[in-house]
Amino acid sequence: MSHRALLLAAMLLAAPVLAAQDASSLAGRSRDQTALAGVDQRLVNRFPASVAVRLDALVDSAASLGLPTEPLVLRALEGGAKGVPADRIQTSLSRLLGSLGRARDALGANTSASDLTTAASALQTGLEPTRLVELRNLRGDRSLTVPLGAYLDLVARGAVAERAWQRVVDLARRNSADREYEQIDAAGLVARQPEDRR
Amino acid sequence: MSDELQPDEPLHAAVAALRTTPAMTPGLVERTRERHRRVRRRRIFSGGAVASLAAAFAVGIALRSPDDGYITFALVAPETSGVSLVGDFTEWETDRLRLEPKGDDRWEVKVKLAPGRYRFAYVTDEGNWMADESAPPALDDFGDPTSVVTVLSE
Repeated sequence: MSHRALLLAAMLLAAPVLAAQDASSLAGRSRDQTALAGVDQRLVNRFPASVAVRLDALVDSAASLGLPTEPLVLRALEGGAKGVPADRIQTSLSRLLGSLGRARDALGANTSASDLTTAASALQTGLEPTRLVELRNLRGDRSLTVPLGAYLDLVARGAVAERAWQRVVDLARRNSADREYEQIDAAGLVARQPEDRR
Repeated sequence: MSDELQPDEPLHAAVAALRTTPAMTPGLVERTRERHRRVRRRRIFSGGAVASLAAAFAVGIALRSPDDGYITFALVAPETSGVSLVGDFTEWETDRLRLEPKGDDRWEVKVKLAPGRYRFAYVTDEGNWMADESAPPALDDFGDPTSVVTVLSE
């Protein structure tokens, strides 16, 4: 048998198998497309389909609870850009979702997404929700993003949480302008001993 | 500002410097470069320990330029062929905002940001993630260097 005849025979034998594989692949793609319907397109573009669906389920949970969804999507995209394993991203999103819910419970349903997100981060440092209420009362209708952000920045710099909070609350009590939070003198706020951290 | 040596911190973090307010003065650039040179000397003489720079600014509040509303992100990063700014405002896409070389290892980009709080970092073309040493670090679950800036509305 010539090479050409052998090749033809092989193609004829393989054709049904390839056709079946194509059909299976198409079915898989179709299943993916069905599963991905309604999933945030940015998640679809950055993650494998199964991961995008898992992460989007948390985003959906936030939406159904009336919480902002963008912070969750952005955190997922950050994890994706940094190559963080999907399980860790999912855990981070779950924590953030829980903290957003607790922040909303403390501050009320009309709180802005920016305030809720910053408040959620503050709760994750161990701040009590009652402190959020205290700050809300001091600030009135003004945004909490700057004072809470200042608190978070100080804690991230190694300040003792309680001291940092008192400094922030002092400014809020004096009805200080937002830009005054930049002037917070960090001296005396930083922990000297590990046990002094909180 | 402390130049205390801290083990296990990447050298690139020690040499990075950013000022997220519009004014990154030549003096700040020069001080950063001098610190970098000192870090390198210490690294050589301390058996591999790498220095870290303490916070330049306790609270990361950025004021938008009164002229055009932009915020300037600037970085001193030697030994890289290019740098991108990534963050919440780029939806963490690594090629949307490129810093422009300004000479003397300085890179810069101006960004118009709405008031709010943003997480961000730099990524070099060599794939290194760099925090902003003059902005507060983000408290996060992912471990990579990330910084935070709060943009004022007033």
